[in-house]
Amino acid sequence: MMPHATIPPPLPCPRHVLVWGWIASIFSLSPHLLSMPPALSVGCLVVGLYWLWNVLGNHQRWFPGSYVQLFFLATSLLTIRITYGQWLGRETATAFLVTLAFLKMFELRRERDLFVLVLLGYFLLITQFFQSQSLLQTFYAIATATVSTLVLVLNHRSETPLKICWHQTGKTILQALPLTGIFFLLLPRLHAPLWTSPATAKQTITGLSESMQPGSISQLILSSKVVFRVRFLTPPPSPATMYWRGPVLWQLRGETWHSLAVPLSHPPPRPKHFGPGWIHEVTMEPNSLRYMFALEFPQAAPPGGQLSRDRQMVSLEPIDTAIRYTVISHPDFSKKPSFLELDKSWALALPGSGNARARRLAQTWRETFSHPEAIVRAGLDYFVANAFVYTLSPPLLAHDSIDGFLFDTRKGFCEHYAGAFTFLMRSAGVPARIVTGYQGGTLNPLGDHLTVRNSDAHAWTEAWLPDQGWVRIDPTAVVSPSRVETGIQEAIAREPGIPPSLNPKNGLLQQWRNVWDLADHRWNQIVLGFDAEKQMAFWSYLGWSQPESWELVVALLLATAAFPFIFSLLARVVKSASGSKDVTEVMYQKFCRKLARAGVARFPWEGALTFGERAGSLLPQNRTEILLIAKNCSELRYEKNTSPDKIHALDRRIRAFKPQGKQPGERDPLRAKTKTLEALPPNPRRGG
Amino acid sequence: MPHPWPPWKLSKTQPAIGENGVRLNYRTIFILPEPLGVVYGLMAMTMIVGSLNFAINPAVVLACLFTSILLVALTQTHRNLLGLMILPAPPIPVFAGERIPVGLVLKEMNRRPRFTLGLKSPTVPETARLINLDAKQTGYLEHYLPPHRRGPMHTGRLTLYSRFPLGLIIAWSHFELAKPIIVYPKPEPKTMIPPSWDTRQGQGEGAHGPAGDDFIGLENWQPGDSPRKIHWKASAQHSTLLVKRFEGTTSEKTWLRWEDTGLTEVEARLSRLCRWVLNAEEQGQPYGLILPNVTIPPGIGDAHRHRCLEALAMFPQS
Repeated sequence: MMPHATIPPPLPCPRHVLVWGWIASIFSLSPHLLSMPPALSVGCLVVGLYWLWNVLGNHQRWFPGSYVQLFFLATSLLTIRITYGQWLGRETATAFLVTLAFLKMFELRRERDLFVLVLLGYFLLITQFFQSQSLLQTFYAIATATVSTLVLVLNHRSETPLKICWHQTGKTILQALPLTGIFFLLLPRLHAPLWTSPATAKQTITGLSESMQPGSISQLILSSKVVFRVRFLTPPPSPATMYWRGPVLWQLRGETWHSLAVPLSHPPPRPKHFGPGWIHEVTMEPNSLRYMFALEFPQAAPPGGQLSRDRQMVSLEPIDTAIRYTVISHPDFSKKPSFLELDKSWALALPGSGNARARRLAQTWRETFSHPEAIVRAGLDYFVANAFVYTLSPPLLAHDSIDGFLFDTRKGFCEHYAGAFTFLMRSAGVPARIVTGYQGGTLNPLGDHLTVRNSDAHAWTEAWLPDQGWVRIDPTAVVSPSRVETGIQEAIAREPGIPPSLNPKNGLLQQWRNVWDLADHRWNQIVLGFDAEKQMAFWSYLGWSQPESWELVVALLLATAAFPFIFSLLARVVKSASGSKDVTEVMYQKFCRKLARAGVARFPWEGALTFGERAGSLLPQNRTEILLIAKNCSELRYEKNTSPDKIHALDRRIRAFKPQGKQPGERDPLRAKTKTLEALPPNPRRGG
Repeated sequence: MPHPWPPWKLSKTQPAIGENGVRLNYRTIFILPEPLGVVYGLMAMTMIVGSLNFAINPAVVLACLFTSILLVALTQTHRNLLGLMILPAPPIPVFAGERIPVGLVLKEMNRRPRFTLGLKSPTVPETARLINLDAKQTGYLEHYLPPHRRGPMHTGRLTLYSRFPLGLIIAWSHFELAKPIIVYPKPEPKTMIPPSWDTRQGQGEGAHGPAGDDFIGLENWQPGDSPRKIHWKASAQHSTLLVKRFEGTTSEKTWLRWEDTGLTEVEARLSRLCRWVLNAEEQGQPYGLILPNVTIPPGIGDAHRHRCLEALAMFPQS
């Protein structure tokens, strides 16, 4: 396959352009590699590195022919098809485009090919926002766009130095930013999508899900990803009572707790009377799931959401973009509801066998205590009396994990406690279910909002008591009170191997996190949340009430058309304002003004040296100084190579220069003599 | 590409450049996206529609940024040409059968640097070399037109263009040179100097051949003296250039005559005379030219040579 020629073929464009093109492509493509099938990612990476190696060295540059490329393409397509299980779909298309981009590296024969590569990169850059829309991601995208633009600037048949190209790129991007803002504000937002995307393939999502097994929450807790942020419109409750309700799990199968396949459809009965409650505004990060979080217990679901009978709030659409909603919650909302027999059978269901020791223990409680409340107390007492330990890394448990946890290891995380406690309650005949969600949160002192992260994930139990209804029972709080009172950081701070994000000791890091969190929150509120409604509100605020979509489009087109004129006008204004006289001239003018105030004005035709002579003779105290400055000015003005040091020295000298005023009685002999000359046109050769 | 203006506007949009030059203004600069720019624009549009559809605002921001970059590039490309002064460069001698160099002097007068300026014409669409200009700098831009037969040649439409900064947009300005380029006749090959040269020379006013061997001394160099005659060794020891003088060369004059070519066909005669002029010039031999319609008194030097070759170039077509 190797060609016989010994001289490597010429590069399609200068080497540094190719290298920058490579960097830009890697910038825009590599985030996608993380979410692609591993085999394909590795293949793409190998292609990219091979190409770079080829460009950097003076190698033979063997690039595959079209048949080999076709083979590569077919293999990649097959891999994609097998991995995602579908032809159409966002991930499939993205993975395909990324593969195409890498294969394109093999056929960079002309400048135009590099352009195509950059263009593909631009396009793939934007698809990254399907995965994440954070501020960080946006910064990354803008940085990548900058590098790609640099490649376009470099991709000319000219030997313009790299520095100038960077300068030009920066100029272009900075000048484009204001226009970007105008576009963003004027583009009419759609009330409903024109088309919906093909179903997305299953992907790994960090967040609470519809099932829980030992270890799932302690894994989640390692992620410091923000789930939602909350702003309270009424005084907030104390952190210990902030339980953010998420998926409710009813069914135990094997080791895993599951939510009901079909949510309980009837809405919960509205409470008859309640206090003022907590009004809070939640801004959720997109996570492709449907759970909407609110303080326990939400009164009603916000628009776009649904409240099920077990008081789970579920969005009608997957949360693919940041959403914001306001909820009213009240701690007493769940009290004394009616209890359906159907719910009761679910709340008592247990697997047919397994965990025999736990069942026996529960059986003794059932025989001993008559009232369910006493059984609950006995269950909690069991955790206290047997010195249970709250830890992020409990020992691994094999079969009958609830038995193993309750009687052998006695070390666990919240999911162990909630799971085991619910199991005990059901065995003892008390209806119980598991609620997962978040507990607490971090108050951001800068933004006056509460940030809830995956690391605040928590699981607790709800038991049904005949005279109280569903009651929250958090066995973790009994074992480790600090978990709910001061937060997860305090509770597990002494454990080795916890991520730095959970370490409260690092003050500076915490401060930085606060600042970043605030920026991210503002970004979510202002940019992510800028929908059709906000757009209307914005333009109404500026006095343009209720603009129609077509009016916005017309304004947009007008702004686009007017842009070049406004731009040239601004450029002209900036140019004339800066004046761009040379520095020496400005300094000399200052020197002349100082002398004029002292009574010696320069005649228009006087050169620096002649004026210096005259001024020196009129102001004998400053004579040496004046002569020196005049000499320096004239030198700097007319010398070809002026060093910055000299200019600075002159500047300092002129600043420090304080001419002593002329004696009032003294006459300027020259002035008297030349009075008549002023009418004459100045001699241009002698002009200053 | 077709001219975007109707013909009666041509004089304004395609000015003829005389000695005073022309400054590019809003009226003379045209601007359009390149095919790549169209692709880029369509991509940006797709991005905007897609991101609006899925209501992903950061993607809207990015798509808006891409669109804005295109618009900014539009103005930047335009401003890269705006205000440039174009002056004709002194003509370069060119003979029929050679590619014809067209030189332009570009003057930057707006105190901002310009980049990647090129020159093209309808027949030769791209220049090999693009130039950059610093603020207030003057640069020289060259373009080669395809060969042309002898005589005056109008350059036709020339186009100054630039794709700076992104290569997505092209701005251009049409103009033509007011003065035609004089294409000299194609000289005969050197090997084909006819034997009549020496004898005909002998019939001239001088008695000796043009390359007299009798060295008589050194003189100061004067404009018009051939570089071949410079005595470099001696010149190195003096502050001025010294020229070798040979017996007879200072005073002898040669007449190059139409009738002496020994040929009948007009173009062949012109070619031969052209060769003779070049030879005489090369050897530092003052020469005059006698054509049926014009007589040029003897002389030497670039200006004289140009006069003679121009007379040959302008000789009426048969």
